[in-house]
Amino acid sequence: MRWALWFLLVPQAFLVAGWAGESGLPAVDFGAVVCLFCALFAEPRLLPGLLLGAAVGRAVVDEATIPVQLLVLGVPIALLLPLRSFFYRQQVWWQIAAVVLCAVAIPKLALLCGRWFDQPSASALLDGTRVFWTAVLGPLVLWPLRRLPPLRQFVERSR
Amino acid sequence: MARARAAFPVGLYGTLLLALCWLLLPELLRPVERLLLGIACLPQRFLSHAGGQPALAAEPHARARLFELRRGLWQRSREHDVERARPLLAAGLEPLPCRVRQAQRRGGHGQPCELVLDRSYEELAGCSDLVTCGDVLLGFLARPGVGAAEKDRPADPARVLLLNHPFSREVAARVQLADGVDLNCVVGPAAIVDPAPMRTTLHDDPYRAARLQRGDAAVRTLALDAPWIGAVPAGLLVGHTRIWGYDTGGDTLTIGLYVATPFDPRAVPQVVLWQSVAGLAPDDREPARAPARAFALPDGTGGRWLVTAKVALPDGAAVVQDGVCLGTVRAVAFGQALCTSFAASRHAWSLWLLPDDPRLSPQGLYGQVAFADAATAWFQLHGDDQRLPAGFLFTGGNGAYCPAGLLIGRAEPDLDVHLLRIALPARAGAQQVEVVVGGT
Repeated sequence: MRWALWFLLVPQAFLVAGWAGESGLPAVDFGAVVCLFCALFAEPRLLPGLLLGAAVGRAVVDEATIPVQLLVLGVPIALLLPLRSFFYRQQVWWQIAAVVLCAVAIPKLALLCGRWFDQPSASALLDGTRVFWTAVLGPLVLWPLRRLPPLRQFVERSR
Repeated sequence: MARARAAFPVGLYGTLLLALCWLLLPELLRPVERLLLGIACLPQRFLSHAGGQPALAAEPHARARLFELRRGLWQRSREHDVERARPLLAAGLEPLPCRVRQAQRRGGHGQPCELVLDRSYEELAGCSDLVTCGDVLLGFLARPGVGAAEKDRPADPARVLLLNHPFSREVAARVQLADGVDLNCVVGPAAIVDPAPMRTTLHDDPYRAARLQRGDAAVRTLALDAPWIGAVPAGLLVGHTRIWGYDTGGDTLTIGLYVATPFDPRAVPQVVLWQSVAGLAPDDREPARAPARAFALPDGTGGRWLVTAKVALPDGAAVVQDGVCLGTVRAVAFGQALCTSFAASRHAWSLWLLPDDPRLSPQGLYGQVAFADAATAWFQLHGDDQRLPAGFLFTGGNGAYCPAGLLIGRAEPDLDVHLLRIALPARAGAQQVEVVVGGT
């Protein structure tokens, strides 16, 4: 059930974030928020499924194909995940640093993958305002989301 | 142990490896991708039906204006592409303009060396093998079952082997030098790594060829003394010289005398073939289109649409509304497709510019959108900076399902950023559209 909810809702979340941007609200990179959740809070063994759902969602709003989205979202998670052991309390400053890294890395990776695999997309443009709002609002948006289904069921249990 | 698992997430790394394999063999997992995206789009499809009636066709005067523009494009392109070569060719030959579907395969200088046409070999059986555009000799028509087209069948789309194709015929040519004394030579295809698409050989004065100091001289075809069936008429432009050599204290010691083509092959929307007996007329038929409904997806840029139709939509098909190209689609499952608008796309486009000045010929362009906002896109050309005139922009040959001649918008040069600024019609909500489903 949690997987059905994840695959059903996460593409809509990308569209809601896009709608907010088009409506004049602060534009948040929802891909960076998903990366933040996967890197800091999610159960590591569930990451492949979470990443696939997020890649499908991003492919709905972006020109590049699903495998490119897997790389664009997966590489920042793979970089941040080993650091979780040192920052297991997930302090806010660490969340902000991590989401900024994701918000910068995602367009850069989209640019590189676009060149290497001939799949350029408009999301390869780094937008400073978007990075700022993602840094400010990303952890705030994630705080309630990870307490609600379906994200709640993917959070790593404390040992 | 848990920390070790977190530090080395095998599943995540496996997913990244799978993504790389997926990119190497995209067709293998394409059905899976279509299905996943199709399921993800279903909620939006249901929502789109709650969004009211789709916008219908434009008003009659707007349609009439568009019709006039398209007619002007075809007329002017035929005047310029056909009439400038006619005096150079044999009197009995009749022109046959053909639209280009796409440019493919790397030849000399790494440029595309083949053009795929919208006509089959069968239809073009009565044509000479000369292929021109204006007074430029582009290349030669391939023959099915022969040489590079050995595996082609007569019903296949005809291919043009450009002069930089490894199997292209070499042509006798004359380099028109500034001192008024011409240099005769043979022009043939260069290698992929060479600095220009064609290379000259067999110079009639090798000493002069080795001492040339300046390039950019026009290279035109030269008539042969002995007439034969495959002879190329004299005076057709092949390109302009590029000199490659050692710099020996101000002078250049030439190693190779190359020839650059007058335009990028990817920017050629139409070529002219020559029939010995006038049997075929220019093909003005429009490719088959299927009615569809487009619904704007809120992607943050206003450039993404969900398209639904009752027939299967092909990848790369143009979405058209009242003759205006909205963008191209990528098909997903359940009769749906995701359309990326021209402004939001970042892949390369072949376009066709109809200048406002009626004396100017339509120009083929190749490049991509550099950046865009809701109503304007800035288009960057590949290659040399060109000063382009203002005019209306149409699609060029962008594949079988995105034919030449669909209006993109009004284009004007933006001198501040050295790009072409394109004004695009704004659209939102649900739209009644058509998708090209039949190849040209």
